[in-house]
Amino acid sequence: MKLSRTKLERYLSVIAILTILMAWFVGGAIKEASVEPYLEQAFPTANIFNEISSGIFAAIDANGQIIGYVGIGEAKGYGGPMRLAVAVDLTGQVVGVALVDHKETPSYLRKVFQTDFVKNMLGKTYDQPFELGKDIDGVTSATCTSAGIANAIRQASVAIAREQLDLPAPSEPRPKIIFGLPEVSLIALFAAGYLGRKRVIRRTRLIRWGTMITGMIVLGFIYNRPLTLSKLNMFLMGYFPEWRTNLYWYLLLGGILFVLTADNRNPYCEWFCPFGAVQECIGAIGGAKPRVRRKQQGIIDWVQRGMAWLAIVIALLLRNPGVTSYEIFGTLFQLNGSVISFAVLGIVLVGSLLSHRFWCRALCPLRPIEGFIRLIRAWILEIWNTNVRKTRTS
Amino acid sequence: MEHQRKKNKNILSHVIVGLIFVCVVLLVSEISINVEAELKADQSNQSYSAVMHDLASSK
Repeated sequence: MKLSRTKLERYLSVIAILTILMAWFVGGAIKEASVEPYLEQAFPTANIFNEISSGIFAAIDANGQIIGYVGIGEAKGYGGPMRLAVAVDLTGQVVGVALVDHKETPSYLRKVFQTDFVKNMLGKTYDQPFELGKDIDGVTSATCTSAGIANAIRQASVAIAREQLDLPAPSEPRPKIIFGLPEVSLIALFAAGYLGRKRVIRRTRLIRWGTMITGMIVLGFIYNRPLTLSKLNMFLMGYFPEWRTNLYWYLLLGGILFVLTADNRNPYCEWFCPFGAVQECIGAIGGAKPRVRRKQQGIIDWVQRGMAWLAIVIALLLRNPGVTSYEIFGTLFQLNGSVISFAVLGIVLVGSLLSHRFWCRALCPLRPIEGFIRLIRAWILEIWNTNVRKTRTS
Repeated sequence: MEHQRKKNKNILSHVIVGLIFVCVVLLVSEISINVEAELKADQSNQSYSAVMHDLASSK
C-alpha cells in the first residue's frame, strides 16, 4: 500500500514532535555547571571559598583573612540566562569576572570577550549604574549579550555590597519599556502587509517593494533583527526575555503566529523579511526565477526540513538556543561570522542572481517550521470539519 | 534552438542544486564545529574571564 504524501508528512510531523519533546526533557535534566572552578578564576589571589549565603562566597587568603567576596550574578542575554562569578574586594570594587554558563551564540560571545568590554567593568563599584550608553559602551551587534553581562555584574556586586559589606547599595532599577523605531516599523509593516494582501489598497506590488526595502534597511542593516532559529529555540526552551526590553520579539513572533493560524499566511517572509528582500533585490538585477525542477525541489524540501529538525533537537539537548543557529543574516547585516558563514553568504548571493529566493527555498530553517505549522493547522481543521459534518448528519 | 534552450535550462537547474548542496555541506560543518566547541568548553571548564592585572600577578 502506497502512503500518500499528506499522510507521510503527518506521520513524520508526529515523530518530529515526539523527538523534540524527548530532546526538551533530556536537555532539561542536564545539571547546571558547578560554580567552584569559576570562583578561583574570578578571584585568583584567594585560597579558600566559603559559601556564606545563597550565591555569595567569602574569598579567604592563605592567612585565613577574608580579602573579598565572589557573588553569582544572573541576567538574561540574547539567547537566555547567563551566570557570572563576580569578585568584589572589601571596598565594593569589582576585581574579577568569570563566565559560569550562558546560552549565547558562540560567535557573539567571542566577539564581546575579544574586546575590552569586560575588562572595562573591572574597578567599577556597586553604586554605578552598569548601563549601556550611560557609564559603559556596549559591543556593536552584540548589545543584548553586553547588557546581560553588565546586569549580572551589577546584580552580584550590589548583593555583596548590601549583604556583606553593609554599604548603602541602590535598589535594582525597574527596566523601562523600549518602544522605538524597530517596534514602530514592525507594526507598520504588519499593517501594510495585511492591507496589501487583502487588496484594501491599490498598487500592491509597489507597496510590497516598499515594505521589503523598509524591512531590509530598518530590521536588517540598521538594527540586525531578523527572525532566527536561535530566537525560536529560546522561546521553545522557556527562556522568555523581559517583555519591557524585548517587546519587538513578542510583537514579531506573536504577529506571525496569529496571522499564520488565523489567515494561513506568513506576513514576515512574504512582506518584510530583511534577508528575503536582499535576495529579491539581487534577483531583480539577475532576472531570477524558480529554476529548480519540482522533483529536485521535493528532495531539497526534505533536506531543509531535516536540517531544521536536527538544529532544534541538538539545541534543546545542549540547552543552548544559539549553538546550532546556522542562518547567515548577521554575516550580511553586521559582517559578523566565521569563514564558512562568509563562504555560504557568497554562494547564496550568487545563487540569488539566478534562482528566486535561493536561501528561502532551500536552506532557511524558518520555511520548514512555517510548513509544519500549516500542516498541523490543516490537520486540526480537517478533524474539526469532519466532526461538525458527523454531528450534523446524526 | 528550442532544444538548446531546454538543455541550458536543465544545466542551470543542476548548477543551482549543486550550489545548494555545497551550502548544506558547509552549514552542517559549521553546526558541527559549534557543537564540538560547546561540548569541549563544557568538558574542560574553559571559561571567559577577566581579572584585575595587579590581583592576578600578585598570586
